[in-house]
Amino acid sequence: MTAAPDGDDYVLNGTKRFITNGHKVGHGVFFAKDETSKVTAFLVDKSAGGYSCSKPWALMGLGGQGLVDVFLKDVKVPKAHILGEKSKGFRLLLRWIAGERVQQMVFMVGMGQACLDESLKYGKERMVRGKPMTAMQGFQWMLSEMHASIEACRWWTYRIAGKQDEGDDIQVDSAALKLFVVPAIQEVARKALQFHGPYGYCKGYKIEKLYRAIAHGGVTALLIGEGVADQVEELVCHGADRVILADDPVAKDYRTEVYTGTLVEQVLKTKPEILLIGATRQGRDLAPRVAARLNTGCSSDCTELDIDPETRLLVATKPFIGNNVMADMICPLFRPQMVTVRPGVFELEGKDRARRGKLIHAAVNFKEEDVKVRVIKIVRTPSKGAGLERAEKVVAGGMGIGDAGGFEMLKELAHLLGAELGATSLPIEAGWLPRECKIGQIGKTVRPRLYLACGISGAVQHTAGIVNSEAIVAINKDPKAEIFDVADYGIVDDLKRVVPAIIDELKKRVGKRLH
Amino acid sequence: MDFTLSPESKMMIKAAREFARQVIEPIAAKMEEEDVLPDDLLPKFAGAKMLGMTVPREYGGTQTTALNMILVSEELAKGASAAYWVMAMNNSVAETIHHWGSEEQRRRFLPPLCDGSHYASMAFTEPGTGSRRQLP
Repeated sequence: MTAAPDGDDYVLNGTKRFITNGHKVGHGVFFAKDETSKVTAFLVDKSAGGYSCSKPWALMGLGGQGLVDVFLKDVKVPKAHILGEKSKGFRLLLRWIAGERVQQMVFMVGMGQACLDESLKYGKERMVRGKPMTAMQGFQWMLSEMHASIEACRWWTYRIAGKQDEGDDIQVDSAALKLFVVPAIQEVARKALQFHGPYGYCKGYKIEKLYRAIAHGGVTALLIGEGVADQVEELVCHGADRVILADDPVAKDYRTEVYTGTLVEQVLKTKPEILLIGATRQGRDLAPRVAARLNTGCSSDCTELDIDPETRLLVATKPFIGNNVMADMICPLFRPQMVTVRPGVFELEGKDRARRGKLIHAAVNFKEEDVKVRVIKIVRTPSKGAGLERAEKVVAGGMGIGDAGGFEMLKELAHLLGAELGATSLPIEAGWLPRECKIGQIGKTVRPRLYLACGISGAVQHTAGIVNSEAIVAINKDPKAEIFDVADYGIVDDLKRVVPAIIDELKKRVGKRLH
Repeated sequence: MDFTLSPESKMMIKAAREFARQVIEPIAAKMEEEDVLPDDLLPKFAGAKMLGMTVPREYGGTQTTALNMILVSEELAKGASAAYWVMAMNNSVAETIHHWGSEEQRRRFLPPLCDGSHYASMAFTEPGTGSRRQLP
C-alpha cells in the first residue's frame, strides 16, 4: 500500500488482507509506504470515498469475526490523521503486535482451560465398567498434564501483562510467550479430544468446537448422487469420520452446476482445512470451479500428500515432466487447501469393519427445472481399458507395434495373460485403441504387478504413469531405448518374433481351456 | 514481587464470567453457524466496561491495568467465540491510539471506540506481506 502527499492530505492506494472489522463503521489504522518508502500509520475513515472491501473470509472456527480484504483507491487522509511520527509507523506496528500477542495467548489459555473443564465434566459422567473415567489413573494423568500446561501458560501470560503495566517493552517477551503457549495449548486440545473419545468429534459437544478453533482433525467425506446411501458404510470403513450424504434424484448424474454448488455449500458450512478431490475426469472438471468460488488455490494432479510438522500445512507433491521434476506445493494463505489427487496412486487401506462414523444428511439445493444441463442419454464408448488403474497385469504397446493390426496380436496376449490392454499416447492418437487405454502423464496411472511394455521407447510422458508397477518387462529391438532404464526385465529383439513366441508358449500351458 | 490478584481484579473476573454466561453463550452457536456478528454486541461490551480498558476515563475508557484486561479476556476466551476478537481489537487499537496519538486525535478517535459505536481495525497484512514468518 502506498501513500502519496497531496496538499494537506495523503492519497492511499492498495489492498489489505484479513482485516478484522474492515467492513464495519469507524476508523482503522492503516500502514502504507510513504514518499520516502518508509512505513507510516494513518487513521483511515472506513466510510471514505474510494474505500471498499470484499465479503468476509470463511474461517475454520471463529464464525462471525468478519475478516475482509480492503481495497483503497485514491483514498484521501488528512495529514492530521497520521498516527505517531511520519515514517515511524513500523515501530508503532511492532508495539501493537506485541500487545496483541498477549491477547492471543490469553485467548489460548482461556480455551485451554475450557478444554480441561469440558474434559473433567465429561469424565465425571462417562462410566466405564461401572466407574467414572476420572476414577482411572490413566485418565487422571491426562488431566494432570493438561492442568500443568495451562497453569504454566497462564501465569507467564499474566506476568507479561504485568510488565506492560510497568511500562516495559514486551516485544521479545510476547514472542517467547507465543512460542511456548501455542504448541502447549494445541497439545491440551488434542488431549481433550482424545479424552472425549468419539464424542469429541460430534458437533454439539463443546470440545469439537474448541478443537476446531485451536487445532483441527477428522476426515469428512461428501457422498453425492442418487441411491448411494449404501456406500456410506464403505467410506467409514475406509477412514471417514463423518460422511455428508447428499442423496437426491437431481444429483443422479454428474452435472457441473449441481455438484459444484453442493460441494461449495458443504465446504462453507463445514470449513475444512484441506479439501481433496480425485483427479478423475469429473474431479478435474469440478475442482477448479470449486476453487474459484471459494477463492482459494488448487494444486492439481498430485501424487503424494504430507503435512509439514512445523507449519502444519499440507504439502502436495506434483510430478512435472514425467517424474523428473517433483514440485512440493503449499497453500499458506487460503483455505481450504485444495488438491486433486491422481486416482490409483494411493493404496486403499484395509477395511476396518469396526470403525464408526457420523452420518450427516445434506440437501441438494437444486430443482431439476433450474439446472441448465439436462442428461438425455449416456452413451458409453466400448471400453477396453476401464479396469487399467486397478489391473493386476497390463500389456501395453507403443509406436513400435506398427499399426492397428499389431494391437490384435497384443490383444490376444493380454487375453491369455488375463491382463488389461493399454498404450502410449501416439497409438491412441492414431486411433488404434480407444482413449480409455492411454497410460502415462496425461493418461492413466497404473500400478499392476506385471507391466509388459511392447515396442515402447520409454519417454517420460509414458513412464510417469507406470513407475509404480511391481515388475516392468520391456520388449524393444533398440537396446538404447529409455524403457530399459525403468524395466526390471528387458528383451532386446523384434516384438513381432517375441510376442508370438510368448503367445504360443502360453497357449501350450493353458491347453484347451481357452482355445 | 506480588503474585496475588487484587480484590478489584477478582471482582472483574467474576463480572466477566457472568457477562460471558449471560450475553455471549446464548448467541455463540448462532454466530458460529451463520458467521455474523450481532450489531448490539459491541455496545454491550461497552456497557460492561470492557472496551478501551486501559484508556483513561477522560477519553471514555475504563482506566484499568493491562493485567486486568487480560484477566477479563481470559474469561471471555473460554467460549472460543469470535466475540472475543471484537472486544480485543477495540482494546488494542484504543491503547495504540492513546499511546501514539496527539491530544486532538485522542479526543476525536477514542470515545467512539470506548462506547462501542465504532469498530476498530488494524490493517497491515497484504496479499504479499504480513506479520507471519516468511516462507522460503
